[in-house]
Amino acid sequence: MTSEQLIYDQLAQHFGYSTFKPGQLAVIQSVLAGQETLAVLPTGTGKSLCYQLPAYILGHTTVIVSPLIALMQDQVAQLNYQGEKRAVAINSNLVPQQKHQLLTHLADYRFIFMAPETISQPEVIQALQRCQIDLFVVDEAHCISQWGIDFRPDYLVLATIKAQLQPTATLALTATANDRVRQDILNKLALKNAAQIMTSVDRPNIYLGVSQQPDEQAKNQFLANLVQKSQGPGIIYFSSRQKTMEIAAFLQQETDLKIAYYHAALSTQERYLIQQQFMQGQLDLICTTNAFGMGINKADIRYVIHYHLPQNIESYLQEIGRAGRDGQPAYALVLTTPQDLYLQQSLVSFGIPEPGLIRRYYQEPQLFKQSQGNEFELLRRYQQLGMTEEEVIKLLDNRQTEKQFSLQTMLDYLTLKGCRRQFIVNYFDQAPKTIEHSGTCCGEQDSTDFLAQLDLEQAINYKTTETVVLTGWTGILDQLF
Amino acid sequence: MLTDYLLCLFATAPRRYQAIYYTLVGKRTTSNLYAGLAYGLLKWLQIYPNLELAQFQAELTQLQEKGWLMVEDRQAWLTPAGADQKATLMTTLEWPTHYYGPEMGHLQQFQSRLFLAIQIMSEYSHHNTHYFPIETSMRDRVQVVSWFKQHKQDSEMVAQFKQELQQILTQLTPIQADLLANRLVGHQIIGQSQQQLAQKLTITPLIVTIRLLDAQAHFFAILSQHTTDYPLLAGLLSPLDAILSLSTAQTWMLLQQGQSIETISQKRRVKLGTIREHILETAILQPQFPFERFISPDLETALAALMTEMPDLTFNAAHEQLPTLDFFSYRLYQIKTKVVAA
Repeated sequence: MTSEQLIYDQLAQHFGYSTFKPGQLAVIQSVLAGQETLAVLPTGTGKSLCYQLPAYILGHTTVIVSPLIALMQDQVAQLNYQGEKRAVAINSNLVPQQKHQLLTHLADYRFIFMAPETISQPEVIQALQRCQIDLFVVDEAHCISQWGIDFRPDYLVLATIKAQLQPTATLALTATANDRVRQDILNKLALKNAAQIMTSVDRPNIYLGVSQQPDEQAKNQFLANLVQKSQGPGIIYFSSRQKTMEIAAFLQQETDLKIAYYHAALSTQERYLIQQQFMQGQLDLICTTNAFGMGINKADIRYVIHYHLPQNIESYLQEIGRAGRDGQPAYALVLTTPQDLYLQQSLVSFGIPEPGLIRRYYQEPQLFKQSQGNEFELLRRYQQLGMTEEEVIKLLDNRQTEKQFSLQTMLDYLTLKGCRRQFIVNYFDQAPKTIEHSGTCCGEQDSTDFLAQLDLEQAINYKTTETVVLTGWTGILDQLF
Repeated sequence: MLTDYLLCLFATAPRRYQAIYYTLVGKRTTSNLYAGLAYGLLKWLQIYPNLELAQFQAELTQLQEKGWLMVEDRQAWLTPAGADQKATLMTTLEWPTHYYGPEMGHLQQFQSRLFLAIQIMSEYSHHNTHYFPIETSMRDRVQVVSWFKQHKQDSEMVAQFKQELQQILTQLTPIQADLLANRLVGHQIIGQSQQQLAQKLTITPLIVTIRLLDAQAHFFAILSQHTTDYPLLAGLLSPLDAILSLSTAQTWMLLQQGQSIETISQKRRVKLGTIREHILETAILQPQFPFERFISPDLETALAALMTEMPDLTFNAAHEQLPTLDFFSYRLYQIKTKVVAA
């Protein structure tokens, strides 16, 4: 048993903190005891620390399975930032020679990030078997559940991988998992005897607001007024790229805030610059799609506004979880108009193939060899995983129902007459607590008066003094080196 | 604005619009490269790797609605009004002058390696190890980190690196150099986003993109043509920046050694058809391709008789006249006539 003192020492030494957030210490102790563990910790409560800290005590290799290349790179960058050089992501964009070299020296790394499709390759398994794996982490573990919002069929191989690697401990991590998803994670990862550590999804310092607007014009005016008066920095989420640009331009005109837009079609470099400027406090507001936020570890975000309806309550919770990580007051607000519902409805079936298409695909796959798009990507993956036509139809039908259900839950949340915080707690928590509803808890807003109540009004009304000319290149070089 | 640029990629003769899209994003199949060559658009190869098909199609729809473009059955062509519009735009739009697709298809990757190298050098010179490295693919990152480790022992490294940068930037126009420098990231410096540069310079973000691209292309051209003058920076180039893809380059090397298609196919355990594709790719992209090795004088005369008047004669029609003709020779002849014309 590792002493608590040692754990706290590591916390101070590597992360510069003196206290844990709820749930972290219990997860770390469980992992250090070699116990299989499922941890459900809400966004913004430091999930990564739960494997990063044990890695320093255990001393050998920690393998982290992560669903997206971007997410892995963010995590490697985060570790680099903390001064950790022995972190690597093995993924499909390495050239074979580089990959081979990394695999040969895999044991030199403390943190190894991989996507499930990479880790299941024989050469990768063999390389990992030569390492002493203290800890096998399945990040975003809800991806293994077909009841989850981001089902990834590739995750289904992970139980087999775990059996092959024989890690000392296994940790499944997720921020959002209701009862059914949790059971599914335990079954599909073969974690029968896992300790389950769950903290409430409730983040009491985030006010939960909804504002119904008659039409888009009213919505935009309300928004401009709101962000001008709000303490920043903040994030506004959109479900369309075009809107991020349009509204950023509109707000730029209407307010004196420093604003940027962000979406996945921007170049990597552009995204990096905007992220870093935001992190360093050089921007007041980001207008973005859900592409922004992964790996954003900024403590003082004061508001998260949704300009369009969130797809479901799970992603809503993830996105608003980026506010108020410093524990200070923050607010989340969904803006809606009657038209928004239709937009979201039409997105529900987007990218999910119809049964007719699935049948034709299975009967004559060569017809679709050149076809591009999410539908075909999905079908190809399922077929590679050996699923039959009927299985795929059933699976996707379930998903459709599930997405419909998630959207309905989101709508219920918006139109709710009672306490929205209680609604969320009841939906997610295993043993829901009773919320003491008050004026600073949640509510419906048609003015910005609630800001004063939450002490979130902008203190000073500054006018930005931007330099208009560009700095000359020689000056920049001198600053750099 | 992008719509205007796209209009200029069409002509009054029908063009396969998907081939134009794939030229812009840089899909290097032989048929796409050939289309790029035939349309005179190869210099824009891979200039816009992030362009999404949906957006491209939406832009075409706009051009149709304005009455400038006709679209039918995978082909698109300019209306007379569209052709007039194109003539005006060709002179009024700002075009990159240093970008040359076949040689710069991987400019973006080079750019990310360069910027990461600058960041690492800058932080290193300020003795700081706590920073967020610029996001790159793992592949580019591995290359830059090993490049850095290789030179780290040299106490003059930072000074020399700075000097090499200065030497290249001096050769750019001051506008290009300033623009590029304002994107850089390093110790306590975060570059400007394109949105910010557009605001400051009161131009559209697309013009910023184009000017930056041109500056980057200029930088890349200077470096890759004088690698010995910039030994540190040259280490950031990659074999993957080459004109030909790796596999095609291997075929090309064996061809230059005088080996036959059949021998290469056996040696490399690659299908004959694939080797022929490699040859076509090389013929399109590589200057001074020895066409005479693959097209006999007799065949050339026969094809010239058939196709000089009708350069777009289909393979089937040509084959009817010349029953021994195969597709490879037919396409190679077409490439030859277009390369010579270009």
